[in-house]
Amino acid sequence: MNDNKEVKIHLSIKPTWSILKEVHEKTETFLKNKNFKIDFIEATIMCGAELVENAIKYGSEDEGHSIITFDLTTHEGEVVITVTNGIKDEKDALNVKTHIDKVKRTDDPGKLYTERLMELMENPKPGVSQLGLYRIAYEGEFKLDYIFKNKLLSVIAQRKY
Amino acid sequence: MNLKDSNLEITLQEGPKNIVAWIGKSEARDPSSVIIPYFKQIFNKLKGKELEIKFEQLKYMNSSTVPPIIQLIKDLEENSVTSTITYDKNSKWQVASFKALETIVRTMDHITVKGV
Repeated sequence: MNDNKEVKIHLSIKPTWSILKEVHEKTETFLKNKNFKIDFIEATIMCGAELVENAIKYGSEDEGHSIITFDLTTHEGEVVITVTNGIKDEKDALNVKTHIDKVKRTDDPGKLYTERLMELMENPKPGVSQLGLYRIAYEGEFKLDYIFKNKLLSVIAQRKY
Repeated sequence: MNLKDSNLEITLQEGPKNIVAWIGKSEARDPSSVIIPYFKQIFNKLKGKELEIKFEQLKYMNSSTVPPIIQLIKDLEENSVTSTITYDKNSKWQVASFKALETIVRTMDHITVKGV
C-alpha cells in the first residue's frame, strides 16, 4: 500500500456472503458523508460489491490465504478500490487476467458487456454470468488492473470524480 | 403469487395486462436458484396476455441477477408473450444495464425495453 494515499475504508473480510452488506453500507456512508453524487455512489458500491463477490466465489479457503482485504481510497480526484484474495485455482486468476486485459485493450467496454449478454442469451448457464468485470468497466466507468503474486490476486479499480 | 427472497421482492399483478414488478435489491449469491423456479411456477399465468415487467423500483442488482433475467426474456419470446420491460430512465445504472439489454432484444419479435 502506498503510504501517501489516505486510506478511507479498510476491511479484512472472512469470505462469507453476508459481509457484502457491510461493504455496501460502509462505502455508501463514507461517500454520502463526502457529498458525492448518487450516480457515483451507486457505481462505486456496485464496483466494490462485484469485486468482493468474485473474491468470495473464487478465493482460496486455505489457512493463511482465506482473508479478503478491501481498501477504498479517495485521493486527488480519484477513487481507488483494491480487493485482494488468495487464489484457489490458478485458472480463476487467469480468467480474471483475460477479462481485465480485454477491458484494458478496448475503447468500448459496453461492447464487451453486450457481447457477453449475447453469449448468455445463446447459451444461458444459471448461476454463471462472468459479467462483473465488464459491468464495472462499462456501467461503473472504472479502469481495471490486477497484480498476481505469491498466490495472491489483487484487482484494482480506479475512477476519476 | 409473489416472490420474497432476502431484500428482493417480485410481485405479479394479474389483470387484462399482467404486471410483474421487481422491488428492492437482488444481491444473493445465486439469484437464478430462486428466480428461475419462481417464473417457471407462474409462467402459465403469463401466457396469452400482454405483460409489463417493471424494474423501476429495483435499487440494486448484482451481475449474477442478469442470467435469470435473460432466461426469462428467452422464455417469453419463445412463448410469444408480448412483453414490455421498463426501467428508470433517471437512474444511471439502470440506463446502462437496460440499454445493453435493449440492444440484444432488438431481433426479438415480442420483447420491448424502454426507459420511463
